[in-house]
This record gives sequence, structure tokens and C-alpha cells, in this order.
Amino acid sequence: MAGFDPQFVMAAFDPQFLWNGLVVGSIIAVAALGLTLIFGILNFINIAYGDYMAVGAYFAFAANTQYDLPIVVAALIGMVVMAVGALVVDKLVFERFRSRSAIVLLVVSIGVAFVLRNLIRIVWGTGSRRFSGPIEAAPQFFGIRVLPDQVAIVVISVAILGGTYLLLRRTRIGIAMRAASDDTDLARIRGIDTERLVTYVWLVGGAIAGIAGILLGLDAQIRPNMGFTALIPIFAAVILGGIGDPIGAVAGGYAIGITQELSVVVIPTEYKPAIGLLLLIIGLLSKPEGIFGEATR
Amino acid sequence: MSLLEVSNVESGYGDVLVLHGVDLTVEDGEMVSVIGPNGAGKSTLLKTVAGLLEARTGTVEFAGEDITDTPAEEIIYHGICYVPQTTNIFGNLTVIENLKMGAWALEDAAFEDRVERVYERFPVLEDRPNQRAETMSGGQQQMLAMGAALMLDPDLLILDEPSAGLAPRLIDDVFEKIRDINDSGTAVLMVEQNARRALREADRGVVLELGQDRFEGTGEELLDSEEIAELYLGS
Ligand SMILES: Nc1ncnc2c1ncn2[C@@H]1O[C@H](COP(=O)(O)OP(=O)(O)O)[C@@H](O)[C@H]1O
Ligand SMILES: [Mg+2]
Repeated sequence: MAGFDPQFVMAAFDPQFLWNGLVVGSIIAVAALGLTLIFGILNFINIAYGDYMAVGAYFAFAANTQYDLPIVVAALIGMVVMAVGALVVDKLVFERFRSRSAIVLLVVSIGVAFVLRNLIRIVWGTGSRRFSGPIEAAPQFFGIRVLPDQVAIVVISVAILGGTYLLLRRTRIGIAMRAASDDTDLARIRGIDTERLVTYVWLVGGAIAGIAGILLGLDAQIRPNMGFTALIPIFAAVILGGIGDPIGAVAGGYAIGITQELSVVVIPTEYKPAIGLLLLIIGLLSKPEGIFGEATR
Repeated sequence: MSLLEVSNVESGYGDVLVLHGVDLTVEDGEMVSVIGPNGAGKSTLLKTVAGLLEARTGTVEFAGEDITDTPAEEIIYHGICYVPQTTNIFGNLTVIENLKMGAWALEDAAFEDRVERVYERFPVLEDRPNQRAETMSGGQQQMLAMGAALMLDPDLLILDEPSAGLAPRLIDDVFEKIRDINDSGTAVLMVEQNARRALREADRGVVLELGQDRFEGTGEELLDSEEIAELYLGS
């Protein structure tokens, strides 16, 4: 235990940790956004979401290293594959259980998660992989080590979050998604074909899961259980933000990423993931609308 | 031929049957109030007409078409707009977004026109297009609920307890709006707890009890009937 030596407290303001937190927070924010969108309209916790992230990362990895495509093209392929993939999984599996309880769907999604993870192991093996690219030098800005990959993660996240915001606020279909997430029956009364909306939400949510996995793979390594192990901070972000609330989930994502990275100042690095769990528990114990709830929708 | 014709409808939830053969008609341009004790099945009847519940037996016809098995998302295209008792606005959407969703079934081009007309009827909405709906007062929310349902200029407006939970002054407001809407030619089918008021306003009243229509008559007939006064009007 590092303890509360003033030196460590000072380190909490170290811009390096803040920057690292922003990078990790960006990834969690994007991932949480996709998960909360899916939850909002389908009302079930999709445990396989983490593995959607991994599948997106692996397809991008394959396009990038096995077919030598540029990383940007590879990332787009990963997103498209996972968008369609999420829809296919829904048609093959979840749709059959949609009228059942949320618990049934949750259990089914655990099964889907297990299958996807093992398919990845069969196709790509159990070892860890990396996207191809030059070994990067780490340029310093004002004393902060800033990797080009990290800059890419932050910028792409902002683009994804901004694009989704515009979709949900400015387009007819996006407003309908928020409406259906508010109340499905009222959406139907308005003449909105909610089954068709569900299709769009899987496409959007799947694409977001895919890119979140790719960003995660860019920041760390690509492993079969990379998404699954990332689930806890992602769930924590969704719950802190108020389940089904997109802006809340994003705020929660950044908050958790930054808290988690700053925590290494006071607790050993190995325990860093516990921060997500801690915040998840705090979120569950606090009001169910979430800490950021209300004010952010 | 009536505008709406509900014949011998049975409906309910899961294994529980709530409506045991209900008949009900609404004529073109008419205002009909359905009254009855709590739990009588009034809301269930409206949900069944609106397609949220499936009729087990019986038929629902609208403007000569059989709409018995028409799902909720298609009902609006027949010219029926329904304002449920609970959750009748999208709380997380703004006022203008709620009106946009009210006009979902409409071509985009007609939106501006319709929204102007709804603003004319409900000026309170024009003052706050970007306010999130759930932060409005109960009265304003009820106006929004009706405004959104009127975006399509329906032939039949179905209202489930429009005055529930409102202060007396606001109740007058709401009934005045409903009167207005009906005077402009829209038929209204309304369920109300405020039974006397609802019967006074309506052309016709129907008393529902234990999932069956018990009495039917003009508003005045029902108001004047001692039996009904004793049983359902609490006096
Ligand atoms: N969603 C539901 N699931 C199961 N039973 C319900 C549901 N809604 C209403 N009921 C039951 O159906 C009966 C009629 O309810 P309702 O139509 O809401 O009555 P009213 O509107 O006349 O007060 C009541 O006994 C009520 O408990
Ligand atoms: Mg009711």
C-alpha cells in the first residue's frame, strides 16, 4: 500500500495520469454508450457485449495484419462486421427470447458470450496479438508521454460520441430510438415500428461495440477475453450514468477511466481494476437512475 | 354505420380475462364517456381498441374496416389517436421532439403546418419547445399528451382519464380543450373518474362494471337516473 504520503497526493494532479485516464475513459465511454443504447430499447443486460468488442477487434486485426489493409480500413471492417454480427446474433438467438424475462435474456447472453469467446480462440488462438504498426516513439508534450495511438483513441472516441449524439438528437430515427427507449408502448401508439428500430439499434450498438474493442486493442493487446474482462468498468459507467441514459453513460465512462488511472497513485497497479468494481457497487447502492441521471438526459 | 363499433369483445392480461363481452359504439363526431368503478376494465377496453391488447373474441371495426387484430403501431394510420392513462408523453424528450413523434406517421413536409395548429390550441407548448417534457407541470404534460395525439388530426381521439391528478382549475382547462377538439369535428372516446363532469360534457355515456357494459344512454339520461347516481356517481 502506498499510503497517503503527500507526495502521492500531489501525484494525483500529475497530468500524465490524467492523460492516461482520459485515454482509458474514452474507451470505456464509447463502450458504455453502445451498451446503454442496446439496454435502453431492449431492456436486457447483454453480457456478450464485451465479446462483441473482442470480435470487432479480431476482425480489424485480421484485416490489418493478415490482409495488410491500413488500420483505418481494418477498423471500418471490424465495425461493419460487428454491426451485422450483433443483428445476426439477435435474429438467431435473442429474438426468440424477447418476450421472456430480462433474467432469461441475461442468462442466454452469457451463453452467447461463451460461444463467441471460444470461437475466437478456435480461429485466432489464445495468445495475445497487436495491430501492426511501427514501434512508436513516445513524444513528450509539456512533460506528458503521449503516444500517437492514444491521441487516435481520444480523437476517434470524440468523433463516435459526437456522431451518436447527432444521430440521437437530430435525426428522426434517432429521436424515435430515444422515444422507444423511454416507453415502447407509447412509441407503438405513435405508429413507430419498434421491431424495425430494434434492428437499427443492434446495428448502431454493434458498430460501437466493434470500434470500442478496436480502441481497446490499440491501447493494450488483443486477447480472446479482452472484452469480457473490460465489462466491469463498462457496466459501472452504464449504471453510474443511469441505465439507458447515453450521456450519463459517457460521463460515467470518463469518470471511471480517470478515477481508475489516478488510483495507481494510492493503490498498487494490480488492484486498478477493482476501482471499476467499487464504483459499480457504489452505483448499484445509490439511486437506480444513476448518479449523473436526471440532469444529463 | 358507426365510426367505431366494438362488438362482444373479451380481453385481458395473460390468463386473466378482464372484459367479458363489451359492446360500444362511437358515431362520427360524437363524444362518448365511459365511466365505472376502479378496476372495471375501462383502461383495458381502450388498450384493446388501441391494439396494445388482443381481443380474445369479438370484433373492433373502425370506419367500416375490421381492425380487431391490428397491432398498436398500425392503429394511428387508420385515424385513431390514443392518449393512455399513464406514460402518455416521452418524459426524456423535449416538447418539440414529443410533437415530432406525434407526427411520426406524417410526411415531414406537413409538420410545420400541424405544429402551428397544435400551438394555437395549446399555446403553453409554444413557449417551451426545448423543455424536457418530464420537467413540466402535470397540466402542461396533459396538454402535451393531447397536442402530440392531435398532430395527425385524427378522426377519433381516445383519452384515458385526461383530468386525473389535476387541480380543479386545470380540469376545467382540459375539459374545455376536449370540448373544443370535439366541436371541430373529431370524435372523442373518453374514460373518466370525474364521472359527473364527463357525462355532462359527453353526447353519450356508457357505464362499465366488472368488464361488462351495464348502462348506456345520453349524458343527461345517465345523470338523471337515480340508480346510476346511487351506484356510480357517489351521491
Ligand atoms: N398490466 C396488467 N396486468 C394484469 N392485470 C391488469 C393489468 N392492468 C390492469 N389489470 C387488471 O385488470 C382489471 C381492470 O383494470 P383497468 O382496465 O385498468 O381498470 P379501470 O381502468 O377501469 O380502472 C383490474 O383488475 C386490474 O387489476
Ligand atoms: Mg384506468
